[in-house]
Amino acid sequence: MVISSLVVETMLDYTQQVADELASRQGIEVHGIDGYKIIITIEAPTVDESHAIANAIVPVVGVIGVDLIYLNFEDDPTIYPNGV
Amino acid sequence: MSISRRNFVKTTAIAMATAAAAGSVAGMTGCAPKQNEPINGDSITKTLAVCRFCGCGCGVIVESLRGKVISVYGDPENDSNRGLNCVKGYYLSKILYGEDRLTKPLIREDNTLKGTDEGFREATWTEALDLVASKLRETWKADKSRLAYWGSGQQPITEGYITSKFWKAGLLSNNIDPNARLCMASAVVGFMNVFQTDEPAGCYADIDHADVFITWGANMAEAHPMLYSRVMTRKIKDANVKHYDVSTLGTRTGATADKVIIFGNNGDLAITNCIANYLIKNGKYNEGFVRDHMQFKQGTEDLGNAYEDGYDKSEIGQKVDDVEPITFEEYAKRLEPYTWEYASKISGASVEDIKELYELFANPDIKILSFWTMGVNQHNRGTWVNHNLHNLHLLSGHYCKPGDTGFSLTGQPSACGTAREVGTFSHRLPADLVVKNPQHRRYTEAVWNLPEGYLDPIETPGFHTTKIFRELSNGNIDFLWSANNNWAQSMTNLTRFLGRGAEDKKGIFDAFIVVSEVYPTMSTKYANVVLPAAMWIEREGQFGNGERRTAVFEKAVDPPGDAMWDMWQIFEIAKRVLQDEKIGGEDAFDLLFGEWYDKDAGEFKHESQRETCKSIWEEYRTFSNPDMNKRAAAINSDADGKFGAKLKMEAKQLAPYEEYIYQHGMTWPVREIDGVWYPTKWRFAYGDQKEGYDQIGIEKYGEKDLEKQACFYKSPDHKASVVFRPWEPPAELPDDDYPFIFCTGRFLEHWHTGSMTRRVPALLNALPEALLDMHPTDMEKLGLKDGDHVKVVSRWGEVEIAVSTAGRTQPPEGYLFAPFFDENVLVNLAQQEMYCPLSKEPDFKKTCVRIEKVQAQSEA
Repeated sequence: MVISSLVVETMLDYTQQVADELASRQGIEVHGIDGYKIIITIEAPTVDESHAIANAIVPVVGVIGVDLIYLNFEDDPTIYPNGV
Repeated sequence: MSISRRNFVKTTAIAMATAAAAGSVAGMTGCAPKQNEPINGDSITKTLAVCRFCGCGCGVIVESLRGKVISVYGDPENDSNRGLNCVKGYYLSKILYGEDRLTKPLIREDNTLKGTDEGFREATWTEALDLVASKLRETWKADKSRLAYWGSGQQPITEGYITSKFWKAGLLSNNIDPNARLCMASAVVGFMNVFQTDEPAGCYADIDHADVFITWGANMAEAHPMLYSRVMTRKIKDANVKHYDVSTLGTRTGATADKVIIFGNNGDLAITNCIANYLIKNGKYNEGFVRDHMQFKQGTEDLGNAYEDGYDKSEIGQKVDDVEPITFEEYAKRLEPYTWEYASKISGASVEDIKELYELFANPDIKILSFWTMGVNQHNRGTWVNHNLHNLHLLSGHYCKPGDTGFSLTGQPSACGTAREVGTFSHRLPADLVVKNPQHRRYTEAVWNLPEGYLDPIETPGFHTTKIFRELSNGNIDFLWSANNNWAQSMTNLTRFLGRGAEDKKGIFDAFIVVSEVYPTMSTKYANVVLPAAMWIEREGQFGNGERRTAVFEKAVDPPGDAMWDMWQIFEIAKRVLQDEKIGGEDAFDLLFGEWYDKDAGEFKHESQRETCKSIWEEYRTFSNPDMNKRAAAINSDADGKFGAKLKMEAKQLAPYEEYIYQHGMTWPVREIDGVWYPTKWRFAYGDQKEGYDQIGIEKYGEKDLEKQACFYKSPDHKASVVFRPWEPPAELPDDDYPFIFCTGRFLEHWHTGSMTRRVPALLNALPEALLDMHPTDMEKLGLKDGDHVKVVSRWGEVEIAVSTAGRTQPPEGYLFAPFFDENVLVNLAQQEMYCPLSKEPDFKKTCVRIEKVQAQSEA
């Protein structure tokens, strides 16, 4: 699986609401909240699918920024069909 | 991936994100993967890099295994982004592995197929290099006004430096210009005219200190996402922080601003002059700042526009840079016509909105951070608007304190580092030096070890970007080499420049065109030879970003197939072109490049790319460290009084190469104190150098007890220039035949021409095609509905595109917007080719057009 971690920045009154929304989405795991920031990981088979999940966070009401922190894609078969 | 490896990767990912959310750089660094953690006995290699997409210049760390990149994460120790990346970071590495990477040199066999991907055959490097060099040499020997190089703000610093040295000293040609001319030349001329030194005084950390943000013609949310994220963070931390968006249309940036002020008709010039007028009239300017730091000027006016190819040499064209001193009172008098009502009438912004902006600058107790970019720079009076924005900050004293400054954002990852600092422009030499200044040429000759006077033949600037393509279309360019850019999509007036218009403008088909590239693009369709290049971390390089930060990206993996490092391509072509040429009795190639490349053996003299880059860097940084070269030092200090002024080259001081790796990038000027190198975050602001202030620069060249402890020491009398620049109209105004104003720009998913991002399915799906954004009222008037195809028709050309009211921008009535990333919708076919007469930067924002509905076949 492609594993990435992100920090999602929210408007102050929306943090918990956004965290709940993200937790309900497939491939996203919420690991904590720090003030107005939500710490998440995304696990998906490919970079493309990971990006699609992350990009879909952008229009969520209350989200003001999506920051990619870490991305590992050694298992992405579209990049490395025969493995690394 | 094994379970234990998966657990390790996921734990690392969570720990780093947790530390990032807490704002803990130390925490992120501490929990980042350690170097050389083996997998099945093979070590993971960790290398330093810089994102290669936009102008933010974010630091990243790359991990690779068995020669393949396996992970990327934000570099916590790079102060530009502190461990954060935007979502484009998902594709930083995947873009290395596109299926259609160019891996073999290509030679066009059938010139009748120029303009298509057809008509090429694969070739060996020797064959391709021999052909390119023979064509370049043939043109050079016959008439060197008929050759040109078009470079890029995406070219790494050392490669740009070597290219410039080859062109300026090797070929004695100034026909070299970068695509940075298209995005920031107006900012450059503005900085040079106002401060006598290029690039912003502040840094990205200003965002953390500002009370008010004003974005002027800048869609930061799309074009500079990491910086905009930092703006939003600042706003969240302090509810009193406000953001004003001054724009010609609604954007994602405006959507999150506290106030959006829409204007048109070059109204930015009138609004800024109006605010300056009332700052003086109402006694709200900063008297001490004006007294200590400013001189006043006015310049040539009624410039007209560069409609004709010969504009630059016309009577008015030759006077556009002229200025004369005036008094403060005379300056105030010039501003008087700019009343609230006049500015409102010109701009369309309300009197109340202009007054609200005025109140900000009239308030000395807040810190104002103005950001501007393409809306200001790509403007037929782009340099003037840059002047006026500086004028506002200077008059009001909102300069030289953290969070209180004017900041021109950059458009590409190394537009500052390579194009501006190396000086890959038709009028420049490295480190702010210019070809027309004899002291500058002497200094350059000293660093390059050339005989005195050797560079005198290049005292006249060469062709700037638009001039290159105008002359190409006129049949006056026989040889063009382009690298790291995509001119056949990004240039203005593509109808003319791609030879699709008038019969006498088809020189593109006769010229010999060389394109160094990583993927097929619009530009490779017009190439005679395509040279496959190593990209990003397939070689070592350096970028200089918008906050004056120089950072190194290390080689992590090998390029695919026969793709080669651009540096090798340049040396191999240079050695062929300069064969048997002499400079001062010495072999020309060896004198210029012999330190790094053995022309006979055809190989680098240093054992690694790191050592080659380091050695080139040592020569390059001599420009800003004159004491490294005795001859240069004497010219810098004007030891014999011959020039009547010091050059102050240390004002851009650069550090030894390793320091940029050790410190994960630094903002120049860098200063050595007790053996430790410190960056300067806030130029012209006196304070502790170790805290990022310009202590050493001011102590060496300035005065430290002036108002606000600022000193603009680069100018001879330490005073910034406030130049009166009036309102003048756009190059075209709407009329019955062309009633709409057409603006082009960029969106988040596709950086510039999409030559890489359009190869990523997810990014392409997110934004598959360029749409024409139009106001619903205009749609109704024209009987259009979303998705209808229309022709955008200008005096210059036309393009077919689908129209939308649901696009990413919200244009006012009479205004249209389309992005230029889509090769299938070449919006610049309809763009005018006018440019700012001072900066020569084209105006991509204000072409007058009409809309014609395209009937569907069934309707027809």
